[in-house]
Amino acid sequence: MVGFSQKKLVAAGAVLVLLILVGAAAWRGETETPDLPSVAEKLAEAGLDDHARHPVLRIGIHTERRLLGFQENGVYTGFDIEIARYIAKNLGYGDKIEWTPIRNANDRILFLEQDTVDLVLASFSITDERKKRVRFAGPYLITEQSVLVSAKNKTISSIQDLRNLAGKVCVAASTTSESLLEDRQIRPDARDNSEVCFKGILDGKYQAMVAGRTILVGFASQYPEQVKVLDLELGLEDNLGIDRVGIGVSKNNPALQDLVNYFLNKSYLEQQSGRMTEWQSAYDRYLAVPHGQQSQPKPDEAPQLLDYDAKAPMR
Amino acid sequence: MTTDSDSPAEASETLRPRGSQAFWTVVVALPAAFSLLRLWVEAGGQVQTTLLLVANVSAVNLLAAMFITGTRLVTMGLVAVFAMGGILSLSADAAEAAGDPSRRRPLFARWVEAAPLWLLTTTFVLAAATWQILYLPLLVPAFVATFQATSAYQALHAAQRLLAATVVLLAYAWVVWPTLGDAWQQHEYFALLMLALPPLLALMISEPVPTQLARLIATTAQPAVLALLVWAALPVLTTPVLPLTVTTATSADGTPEFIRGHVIGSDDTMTSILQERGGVRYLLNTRITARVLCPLPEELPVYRLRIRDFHVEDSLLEAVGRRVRPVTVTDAACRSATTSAT
Repeated sequence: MVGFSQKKLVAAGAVLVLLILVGAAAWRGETETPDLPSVAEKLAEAGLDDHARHPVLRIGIHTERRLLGFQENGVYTGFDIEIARYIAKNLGYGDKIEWTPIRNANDRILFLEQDTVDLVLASFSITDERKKRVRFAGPYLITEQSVLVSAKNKTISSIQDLRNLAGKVCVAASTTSESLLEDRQIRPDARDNSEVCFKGILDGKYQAMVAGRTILVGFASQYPEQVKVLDLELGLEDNLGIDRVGIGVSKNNPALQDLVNYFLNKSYLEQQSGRMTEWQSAYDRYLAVPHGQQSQPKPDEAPQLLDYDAKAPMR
Repeated sequence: MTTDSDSPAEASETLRPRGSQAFWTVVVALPAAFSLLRLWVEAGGQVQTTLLLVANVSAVNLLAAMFITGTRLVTMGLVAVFAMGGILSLSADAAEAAGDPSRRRPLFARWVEAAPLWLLTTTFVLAAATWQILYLPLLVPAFVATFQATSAYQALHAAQRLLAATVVLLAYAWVVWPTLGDAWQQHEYFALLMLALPPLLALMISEPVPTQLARLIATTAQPAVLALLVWAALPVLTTPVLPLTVTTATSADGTPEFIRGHVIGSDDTMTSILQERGGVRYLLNTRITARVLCPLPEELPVYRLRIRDFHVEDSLLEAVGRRVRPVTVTDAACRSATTSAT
């Protein structure tokens, strides 16, 4: 027998380690499962994987807000609608959407609580108060509180002017606009929704209305001769009047919130890498001119999920 | 090198032709038999469905599909055989030099010595192109183990070998360095070992191993490689032969139905679809309004590691392919796990 030289022992050790490594590779290659949850698993968790049981995605939207959510002759248009379509497509629903009109601000929370809708995309600002009752994905849009007046109006140019108009300033009840006006000590007439306020402006019942700028520029685009949006800073130090608009999801469906956040974040990351996204083309189409150029805001949460594009090139 | 026959001349006359017949039998018949087994699995074990598949899937398509999914498996087997053969060959030479030759030279050692250089090279090139990137580091020691048995390697000076090893290792370290950090952060220690260890081991295996170990490897190598091949063949056996699609069929009243499955074939009037969960559906061609291609859940990766933006679970071929067509679109219809009607 030949004596063991040190080199031989090293070689033997190396061969053994290699064999163990190959064995481990063979074993793990077959049995390893991903650490991350997959989109498919989340869809199952959210109750959206079986279209026999959940055939359509029910989405709450505004139907009378041009540029955001508008319905005419059965055709739905607007920025919110396009974002809803992007989400529905990614959740596997494509055109299988049931649009549910939101008539007043409170419905947005009620519909989610009563399981009348799966998602709400209706100028739904993310607030801590609302988070107690619903979940939010996003934000997918940042806007600010603004004032809309009749085009002929030359008297309103300051916050004080609005304060002097007690009862003549209209706002939609249960909105972030209403609470901002309270903070500003402006006493508005709180109505069901912004559409009622806008009709009041056209009829001369109200002198001014306050809402998110995206909503107001939508009204103004409809009647450019009759109304105008003022460049009036409404924000305060502790209430900036900035609306972070999100997508409402039921409190009972965290998986759906994760999915929506995942796809919003995916679009955000694509935009960051310089690619044209559906978000951007929807924004450019509806809001870029009246609302000013903007890019997609970063969603608050970006869950890591596994999807079929997980191996796609990142740059 | 020793042979089974008494003289080399006799070997060339009697063994080669028989060996060649056996070789072609294996090369042609084995994939064919394996493909049929795959069809059987694909059909869900149902005899009638298997017959339908056999009638509709052409032999060329089947062999092409077999080649695509089987190359990894075949090269794995060959690389394992050659690498072990290389180690055994070196050890057998050392044992002979020390006056302690084994009764018969180990089988794998004889194989690697008999294999022409082009076969060894082709095997390693195909393996490098088709193996998952995560397992490519194993090719480095396998390469050294295999080629140290060739005369081309033995003709190199020690200094030349050292220089080549240094250049290769430095380049390798530069390529994988960021990924090692990621693997550490993600607590993927197996991936870390897989990427870091094999190239270092490659430096140590160009020495003969102790005779006892060589004999142990020689006796266990054949069943071990066979077991490894069977183990690795199982997923290949269950990989679908036909692509997964979702077909939209619209009924007379306009209601769409989404059928998830593999299209077997179609004639002038009907299309037959093997449904994902089982059973064959025949649809009138006039009812079919759309069809999309869908990925399989098995395609989802386990790791979140990339080497220079190449995912570690892609082969080099796949990774390059992804750069040619970088966008992955998953159609909405693919998201539903069930066949459904709206």
